[in-house]
Amino acid sequence: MTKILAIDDSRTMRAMLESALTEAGMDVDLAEDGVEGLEVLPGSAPDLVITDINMPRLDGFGLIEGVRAKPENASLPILVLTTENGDALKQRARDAGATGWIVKPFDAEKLVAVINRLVV
Amino acid sequence: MSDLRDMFFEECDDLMEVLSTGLDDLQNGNGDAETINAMFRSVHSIKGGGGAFGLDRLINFAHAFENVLEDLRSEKIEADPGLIALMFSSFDHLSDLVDAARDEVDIPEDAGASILADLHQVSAPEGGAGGEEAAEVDSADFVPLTLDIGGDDDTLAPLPDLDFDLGGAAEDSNGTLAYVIEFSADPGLYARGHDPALLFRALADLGELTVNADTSEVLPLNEVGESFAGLKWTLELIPAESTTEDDVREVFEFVESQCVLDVSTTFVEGEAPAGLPDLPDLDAPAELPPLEDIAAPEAAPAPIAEAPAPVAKPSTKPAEAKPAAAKKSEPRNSTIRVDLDRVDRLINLVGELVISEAMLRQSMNELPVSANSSVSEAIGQLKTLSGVLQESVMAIRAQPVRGLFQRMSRIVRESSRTAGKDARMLVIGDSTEVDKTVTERLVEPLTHMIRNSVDHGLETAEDRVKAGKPAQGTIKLEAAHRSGRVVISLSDDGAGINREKVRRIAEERGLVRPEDDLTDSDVDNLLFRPGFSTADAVSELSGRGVGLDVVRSEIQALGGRINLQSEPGKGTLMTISLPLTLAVMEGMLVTIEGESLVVPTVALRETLQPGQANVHDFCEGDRGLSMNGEILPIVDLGEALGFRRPLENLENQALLLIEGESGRRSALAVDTIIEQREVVIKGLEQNYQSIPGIAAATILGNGKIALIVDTDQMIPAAGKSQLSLLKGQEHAEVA
Repeated sequence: MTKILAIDDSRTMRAMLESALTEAGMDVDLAEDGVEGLEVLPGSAPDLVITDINMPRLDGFGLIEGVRAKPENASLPILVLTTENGDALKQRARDAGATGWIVKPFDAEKLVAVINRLVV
Repeated sequence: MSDLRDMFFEECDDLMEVLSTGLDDLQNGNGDAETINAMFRSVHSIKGGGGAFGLDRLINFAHAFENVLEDLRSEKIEADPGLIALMFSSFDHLSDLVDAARDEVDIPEDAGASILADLHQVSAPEGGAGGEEAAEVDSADFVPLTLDIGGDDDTLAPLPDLDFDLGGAAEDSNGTLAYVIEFSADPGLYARGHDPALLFRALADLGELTVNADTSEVLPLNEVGESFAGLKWTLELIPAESTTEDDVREVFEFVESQCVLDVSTTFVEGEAPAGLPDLPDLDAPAELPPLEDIAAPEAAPAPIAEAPAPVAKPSTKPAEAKPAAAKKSEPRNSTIRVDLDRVDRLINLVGELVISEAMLRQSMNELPVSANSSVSEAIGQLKTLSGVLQESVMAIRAQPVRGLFQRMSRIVRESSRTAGKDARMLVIGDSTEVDKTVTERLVEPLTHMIRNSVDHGLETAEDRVKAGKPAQGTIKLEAAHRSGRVVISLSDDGAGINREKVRRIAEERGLVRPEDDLTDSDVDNLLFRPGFSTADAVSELSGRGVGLDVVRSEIQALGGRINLQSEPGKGTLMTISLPLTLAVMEGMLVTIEGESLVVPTVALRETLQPGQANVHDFCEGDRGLSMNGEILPIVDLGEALGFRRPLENLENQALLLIEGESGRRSALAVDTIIEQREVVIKGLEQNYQSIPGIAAATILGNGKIALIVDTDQMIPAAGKSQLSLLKGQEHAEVA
């Protein structure tokens, strides 16, 4: 079963992600911010990470850097979940080491399609 | 979905609170970078959630607000008083929009329009430039991209034409349109978790795919060093009917800057269909697995080859930076949301436990020889435990008054705007915790009081300056715990109460007589009389008094007291004192015909032992108590509640002097006064029904039930009794 770690400081958004992904038959772990995301990552061992950008304590960019800093996560796909659609932001996400991005509000079907394109 | 919606609006409440706290901090000069960050995140999250539920107006406004916060965050603009005032208005409007969305009501089209315009204006000069800047950055980013894509750039515009031409040609030549995709990956592609095999898998879903790998530049593994030797692929896709070039490009959406990509169109010869048997051989299992085999080792070395770079750099930095960042922010209190009914049930059960414990203790004391020290020790422990348990359970319902106070700062802003006065709100002790019910029921009285303070308490800026005060008035709202009660005080630095005027109006309304000798505080308290809240009193009275009687009755209904102090020229202070919990009340235990009753201390003013009282008999069995030149009606509680027939004389009765919500007094006659004590309130209405004269019940230590007297109903209404007529005569006599 595909395992996703979804990180967002908004509990509404977490609940939405959880429900969309669970419905698509995926297993979902949740975290509230970058710090918690990095904490639960090893135990969660996800196939893919979805992260918000604006979060307290450690934001999405910081999280991505933290994930990529570990050699074992070098090829872990990370999707950025953002309300912004600008190319500057996409570039920033890419530079940070994100695999791709989803724009909020997300469409559950499209989200699942994107995930399927990134997970073996 | 409706659960998610509810969740969103609950979250909005929390986010608005963060926003409001941030605004207060900015205003008081306590704000730092994290304050603005937190505010930004709040508005951002509201916008994000609004997007999920299609709340367009909310999104638009939140977006404008967010832009300003972003500019503030990036220090393009400064949090000067003007901007803070605008942000307060924005906060108010955002809160209206959230409420409107929650209740699914529309608010007027033009509401908030000027605020929105102001927000745009604030962020426009800088933000507009910022926007352009961003656009420039974007196009700068794009230039190399399009260069990478190469020749394709030229074909982008004419592409539709090509399609048409080719479409026609396709029929002519009997060929089939195909996309030729040349692709080679930069090392960075692997470092971002991509895998070319997955990209090709996605392409294979779009039609018939042929993959050819060019391995000429691949180095032997032992020669792969810092630099990455890449594979190149040439792919040919015969698209399925619905597949467009956009679909093809979308597959590469995430990798476009980390690869060299060229998409062109070509025609597969008419033989193509004939050659199809070959294609499956090429593109399907036959070709792909080797590709993945090649890609995989290729991908594997990538991290290793790259490892020294990305690992070495970020790993040292995050290792220091992140724990530090984590330490800096405070640890979170984890919370759960619980249905209020469950909490109430728990509170009720603990109330029962406390009563049972008291019963047990009492029966122990009644045992002939209670020298069993181990039992009494255990009982002592039980008492302590049940006390602590009760406190803890009550604490569950306790909430900081912050939310309430934030609503009040809005009232200050709005009413000062309406009154054309400059006022600021000062909040102290907003982390003081009070029962949730109390905070809810305080909203209206406090709103009333604040409007009064702004309307009638504060002078105009001109008058203030003339009086040597700062032009801006200050309304201070303070909460604190004091000796087992919550004290909420509201003060202003206005003109104070115009006592002459108050007295004059009170005399006009017949509330006092011209010859009455009243202390300043007596005069101030006249404002709580119902007479002062009628419409024409307001128009005549430039002082205070709008609906303060209503305020007082609300506070009393919560078991609280309200007190008013005023100093001419300096301002006015109103203090509300409330019990910590609603479930426990202080009362005077009395007996009538052997039955126990409780009279709430809130209403109690004085107690008189038998024989102390100066009782006057009037006609029709009416009796009055003469006190300080006033005659108060005496109510025989035993008779009123139906315990016995009217008493012939009251000589042996103790009297309790009570004051009702209206400020009217009377004396209750009872057999004996036992003691003052705290009782656990048990509502009767749910279990029995509402009984006139009885507010609730309690269970005493001995297990017996005692009824709690509804003091307000024990005070005869004016005109119902002969006493009101006799008052004047008696007064003349005394005088």
